[in-house]
Amino acid sequence: MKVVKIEGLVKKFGDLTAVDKINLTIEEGEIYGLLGPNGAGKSTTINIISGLLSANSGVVEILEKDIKKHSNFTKKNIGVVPQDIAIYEDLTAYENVKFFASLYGLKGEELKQKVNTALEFVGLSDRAKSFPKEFSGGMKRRLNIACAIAHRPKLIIMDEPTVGIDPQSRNHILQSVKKLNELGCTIIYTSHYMEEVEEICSRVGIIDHGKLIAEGTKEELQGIITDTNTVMITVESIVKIIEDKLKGIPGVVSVEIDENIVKVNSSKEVNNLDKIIGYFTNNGIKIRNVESKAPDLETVFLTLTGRKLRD
Amino acid sequence: MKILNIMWKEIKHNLRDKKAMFMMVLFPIVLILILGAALSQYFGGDNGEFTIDAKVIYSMDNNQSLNNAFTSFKDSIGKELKITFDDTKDINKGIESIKDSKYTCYIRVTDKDIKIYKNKRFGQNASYIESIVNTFVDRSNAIGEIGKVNPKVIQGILADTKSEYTKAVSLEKKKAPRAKDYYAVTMITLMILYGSATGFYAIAGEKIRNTKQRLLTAPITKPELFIGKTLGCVAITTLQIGIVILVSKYLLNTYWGENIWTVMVILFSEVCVSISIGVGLALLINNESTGNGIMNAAIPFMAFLGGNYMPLENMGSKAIDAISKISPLRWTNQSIFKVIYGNDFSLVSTALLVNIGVAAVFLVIASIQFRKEAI
Repeated sequence: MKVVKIEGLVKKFGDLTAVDKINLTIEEGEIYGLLGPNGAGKSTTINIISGLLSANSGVVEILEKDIKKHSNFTKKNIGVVPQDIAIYEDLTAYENVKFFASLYGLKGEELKQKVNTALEFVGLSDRAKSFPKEFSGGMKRRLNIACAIAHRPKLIIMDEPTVGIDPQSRNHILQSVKKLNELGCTIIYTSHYMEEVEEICSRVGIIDHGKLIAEGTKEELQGIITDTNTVMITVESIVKIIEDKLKGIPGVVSVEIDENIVKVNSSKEVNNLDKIIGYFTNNGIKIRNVESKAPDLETVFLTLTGRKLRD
Repeated sequence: MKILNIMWKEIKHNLRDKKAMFMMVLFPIVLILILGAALSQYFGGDNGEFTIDAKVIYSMDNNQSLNNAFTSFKDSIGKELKITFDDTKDINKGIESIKDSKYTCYIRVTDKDIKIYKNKRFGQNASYIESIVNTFVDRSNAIGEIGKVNPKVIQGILADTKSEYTKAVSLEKKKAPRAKDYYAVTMITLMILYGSATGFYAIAGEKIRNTKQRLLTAPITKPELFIGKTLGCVAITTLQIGIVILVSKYLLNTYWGENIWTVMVILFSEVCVSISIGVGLALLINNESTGNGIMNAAIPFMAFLGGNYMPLENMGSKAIDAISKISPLRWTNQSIFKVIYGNDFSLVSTALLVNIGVAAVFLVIASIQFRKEAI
C-alpha cells in the first residue's frame, strides 16, 4: 500500500518556487529519510503532507486518499513530531499527551490507555505527573514524540527529532523510531545527522532547490555518484610497493599512496580483492589493516548538492 | 467534545498561571482595599458621622416669610452638615461664582420660589445640596397650602423641620458609593479589560510555544479551535471576576445593590468584549511585543475615560466627558452605578449593546484573519 503518493507537487511563495514538481512515493512500512540543505523545500513538502500548507498544484495522497478531499481522514492518520519542542510547560506530561490525543477523537478508557502506552513507549511513564519544566532536553524531545504517536497514526512525520540532545536520549529516540516502524508505522524522517539517516532509513530522498534530485536505498544513492569501489590497505612499509604493478591488476582504476596507506580504486564490475591482497603477501609486504570503503551518504549528498547537509 | 477539551485546556493554563491569577484576582482586591481606604474622604457614602463640607452662596429677594423660612433652614443644615453659607445681593455674582467653581451651589430665593444653580464639578456634594433644598421647597409649599386651610397646625409642623432634612439627606447619602464601593466596581471593570491579555496569549501563546503547528495538524477545524479558545478565556475570566466580587461583597462588605444579577450580566458582556479584543489583536498584530504595547497603552487610556481611576465629573470638563463616550468602560461603569445606586436600568441596554457590538466586530475580524492565516 502506498502511504504517501505525491505527484507534480508545486508550491510557490510569491516569485520563489519552494517546491518544484516533486514526485514521491512511500510504501507502507518504510522509514523514508528526507534530506536537503536549509531552504531546499524539505519543510514546505512536509508541511503540505501534514496539511499545514496548501499546494499551488499537484496531488498529495495519504493512504491512497487525497488530502484536500479527505482532510479529516488524512489528518487522523498522521502524527507530526515538529522540529521545535511543541508542548505545554504548565500541563503535566500525561495532560500534554492526553490533550493532543483528545483532538484526534479519543476519549474515555481508550484515551487513558493510549496515553499511558505512548508515555511508556518513550520511557516517561514514571514521570507522567511531572511538568515538562522539570525535564531535560532529551525528555522533552521524548514527550514531543509521545504527543504525536498516542493516537496511533499510520504515518509519522519526524522533523529533526534529535536536535540538541544528549547521546543517551538520542539513542533512545532512534530505538523508538525503529520500534514504531516494527509496529507497522511508516515514517518520514528528516535529520541533519547523516549517520542517523544511514542507520535507520530504508530509503532516502534528497531535495535541493525545490526538486527531488535523487532517491533510493543507500546503495542506490552510492551507485549514482560512483562506479568504483575503494580498498584502503594499511601496510607496515611502502618501500617495496611498485604502483604500476598494482595498476596492472585487472579492474584497478587508480592507486594512491599516502604515508603507509594504499588506496586502490577498482571497477565495481570486477571482483579483484584477492588479487590485490595477493600482490602484497607475495611481495612480503606486511598488511596491518584492510578496509573496503564505499562513499557514505554525506559524500553522496555533497556530490549531488555541492553543499554539506549542515550548511 | 473537541471544543470542550480546548476550553478546559485554556482554563487549566490560566488557573496554573500564578502571575495571571495574582493580576486578575488578588490585585483588584488589594487595590479595592488600598484605594477604598486612601480616598475615602473624596467620596460620599455612609461613613458614620455625616457631613457634606461644602460652600454655598445665596441671595434673597423680598418675600419675608420665605426668607425667614430659608434662613432658619440654612442655619439648621449649615451647622449640621458643615455647609458654609455666604450671602450676596448680586444675582450675577452668584452665578459667576458657580461658574468659577468658587462655590458648590448658588441658591436664589425669589419672591415666588427657590432656584438652585450647581457646579457639576462638585459632583455628589452638589447633588446632595440640591436634594436637600428640593426637600425644603416641597415642605415649604406643603406648609403654605396647609396654612391656607388650617393656620393653627403650622407651628407644630415647623418644630419638626430639622430632623426631616437630616433624614432626607441620610437617605440620599446611602445611595451614594463609598470609596471602597466605587473602587470595587471600577477595579473589577479595569481588571476585566486587562483580561484581554488572556485572549491575546491564548492565541499568541500557541505560536510562542510552537504548539500552533501541532494543533493545526490535528483533525480539528479552525472554527473549533477559535471557539474553544475564546470560550475558555471567557470562562476563566468570568470565574476570576466572580471570585473578586464574592470577596468584595462578603469580606470587604462593599455594596453591590439589590440587582446584582443585572450587574453580573453587564460585567459578563465586558468580559466578552475584552477577550474578543485580545483574540482579535493577537491575530491582527501577529507580534507579541507590539500587541502587548498596544494593550498597555490603550487599557489605561480607556480606563481613565471610563472613570476607573477617579470619577470624571470631578474634572468638570465637557471635552473629556464627550471623549469618554468612546470608552466601553464608561458605559459599563455608568450603567452599573445607576443600577446599584438608583435602581436605574436606563443605561443597561446601551452598555450591553456597546460591549456586544465591539465584541462582535473584533470576533468577526479575528475569525476572518484566523481562517486566512497559515503557520
